[in-house]
Amino acid sequence: MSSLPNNLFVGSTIGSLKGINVKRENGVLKVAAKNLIRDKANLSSQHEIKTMNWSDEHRDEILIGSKSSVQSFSTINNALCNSFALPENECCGIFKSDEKIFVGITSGSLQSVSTSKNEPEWTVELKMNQCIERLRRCYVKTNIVATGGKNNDLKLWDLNTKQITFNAKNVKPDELQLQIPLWISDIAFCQQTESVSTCSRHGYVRLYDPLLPQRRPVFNAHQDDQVFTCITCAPAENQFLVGSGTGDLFLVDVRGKNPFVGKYKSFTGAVKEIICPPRQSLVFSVSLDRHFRIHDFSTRKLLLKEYLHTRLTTILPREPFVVEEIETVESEAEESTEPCIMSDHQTVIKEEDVKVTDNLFDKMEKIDDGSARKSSLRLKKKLPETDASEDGIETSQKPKRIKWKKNV
Amino acid sequence: MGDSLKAIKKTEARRSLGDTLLPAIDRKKTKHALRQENMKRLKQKDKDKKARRKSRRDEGAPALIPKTIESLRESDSTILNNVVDEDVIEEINCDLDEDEFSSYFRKEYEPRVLITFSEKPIKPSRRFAAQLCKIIPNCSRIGRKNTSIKSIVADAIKKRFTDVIVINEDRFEPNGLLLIHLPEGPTAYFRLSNVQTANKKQMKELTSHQPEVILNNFNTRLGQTVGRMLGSVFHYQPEFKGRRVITFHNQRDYIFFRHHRYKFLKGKAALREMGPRFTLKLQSVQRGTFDSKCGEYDWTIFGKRHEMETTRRRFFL
Repeated sequence: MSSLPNNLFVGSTIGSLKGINVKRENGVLKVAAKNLIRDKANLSSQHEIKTMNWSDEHRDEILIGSKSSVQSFSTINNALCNSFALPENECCGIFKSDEKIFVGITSGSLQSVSTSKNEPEWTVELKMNQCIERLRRCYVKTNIVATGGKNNDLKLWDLNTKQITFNAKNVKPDELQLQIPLWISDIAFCQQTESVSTCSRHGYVRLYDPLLPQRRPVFNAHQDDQVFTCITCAPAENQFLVGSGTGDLFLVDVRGKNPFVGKYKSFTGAVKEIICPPRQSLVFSVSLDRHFRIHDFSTRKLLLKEYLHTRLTTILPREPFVVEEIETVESEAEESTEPCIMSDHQTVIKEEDVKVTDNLFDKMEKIDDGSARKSSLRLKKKLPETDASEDGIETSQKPKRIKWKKNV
Repeated sequence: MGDSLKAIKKTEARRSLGDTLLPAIDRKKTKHALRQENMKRLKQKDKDKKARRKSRRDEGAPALIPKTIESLRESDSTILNNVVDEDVIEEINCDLDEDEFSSYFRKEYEPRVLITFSEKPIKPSRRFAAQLCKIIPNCSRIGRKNTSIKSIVADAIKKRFTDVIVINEDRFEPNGLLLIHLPEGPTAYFRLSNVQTANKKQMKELTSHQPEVILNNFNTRLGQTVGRMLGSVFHYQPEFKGRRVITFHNQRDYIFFRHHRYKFLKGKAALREMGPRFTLKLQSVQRGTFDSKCGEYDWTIFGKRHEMETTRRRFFL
């Protein structure tokens, strides 16, 4: 099945990139994985993939931020195109704009390198003075990036002005007036709005709204004994998916008293990244136990898990994400190749299907049981008295009540 | 006359009941009879089995594989022997070459081990640790007092130790073994049981030769990691003159530790056990050095035992 296009890409700790083809055969999900980076020069613990992103809207080039270098991978040729050694430390966020690759570096800086020049020259775009663990770009306003790390709360930076636009404030200290510890491990922007959610290694999930004057989180939830490692926005509104270091995946709802609404099972190692493609009721996740898993978002059941032989760290879906529908039993080959895009939690009902069901209902026999008669009686009761007298039925008379004798 | 009258009265009484006969009494068999029956059945079964075996031998057919829990093990995609694809084998080899123990297997460093205890160790765990210290070459032992494991790890890295073993205890017996590989992890926690320390006679025979290490039945990828981890505690170059052998035998996810001295007799080898002996059961493998609060686990069974151990025929190592 190598001819089928890969709709997911997965990175691992030894720097191997795998293309995964997810398809639905007769309603059952199936997966075919293939190694894309193979040559031994690029496989080492120094090339551990930390983050991945698409380079532009065409979605034919993947930017790979690894421990020691930045690479770009072309999905058309299935080969690495460019490779730049990092000036220092590790990469924790990557994106491309105006022919420049922007790389967040864990020591606390955002540096850029231009792809057009032959010799890489790193220029410092932002200096943060604090270590960061994650850097992500906003979907709505592309000039805004969010950073966070250990003892470093969420900050939003404007790339044009190089200033902080939003500086989050820690929640109120506890009853002993001690500061709540900070260790942001992942940041997720909402697809439509500017609101940002973070998760921390001390078990906090927070939601910030930078448009409000308030700097403290709009929503704050805490789970004891959990180390949250990754967060994403769920397909449903006001919900997030949070993965933890002990191998738990929680569904967090902003509304209601108990924010941890659900749990997705079958993990035995730390969850490293979760992806929920829009318009799909599927949850894709990779974890350190070397498994790639697909859960159903609404039923929370495990649909599929695939062993991929290396510790997996990152996952990137093709956009727009489409699950190919293949039906081998039916002879209609033309329909089977046609991809079916799902709407929010429901499949799109085709017009032909509606016709077929209508015909089916027309053919069905009408069943006459007691219920129909009862309803007719009720109708008769409602009819005026004159009609009833003609039939000779005294409908106005009430049924006699049985009088119980008193116990003597 | 009186008897006949009584009989007539009885029959009349029965008629008045409507001629319904009462059911016959089902007498219980005596225990003896039941036992006899069972014995008979078993004897017959044995006979049949022998007859079948004889007929098979006469035909010259090969013996069948006995149905044990291990032979009926659930198929698992993580078992390394099942991998056929060459591409994948290459990747697995690369993964093994790049892990934290690869430098040990390349013989780049000699392991140095540090053994500590819980806060106030009881005598059995001290004795156990003392014997471990004698078995493992290049090993030292310190009392922990009030220091945290994290600070011990930090100090051990500075002093160039390569492994730290912490023996935990509960209810007056050692019950846990934490093995931390330095400087970059991983950390494994084992449940420790059936600790039998060596007696004086056995300890007299102990020599300071570097032992041979046998790792048995570590079949899955996780088992491979654990096996490499346990193996890398000992020196890579065994001194065959000492004829000491240490075995980590994995059977149904329980790792049995045995320590023997061998001798070649005519035709076969003779073994003498030297002790101590103990059993390990893996509880978790964590990435990096010990960090119980903020660590990320490669594999853990804490809190999901019922979810993971759904059949008796599923093993993880």
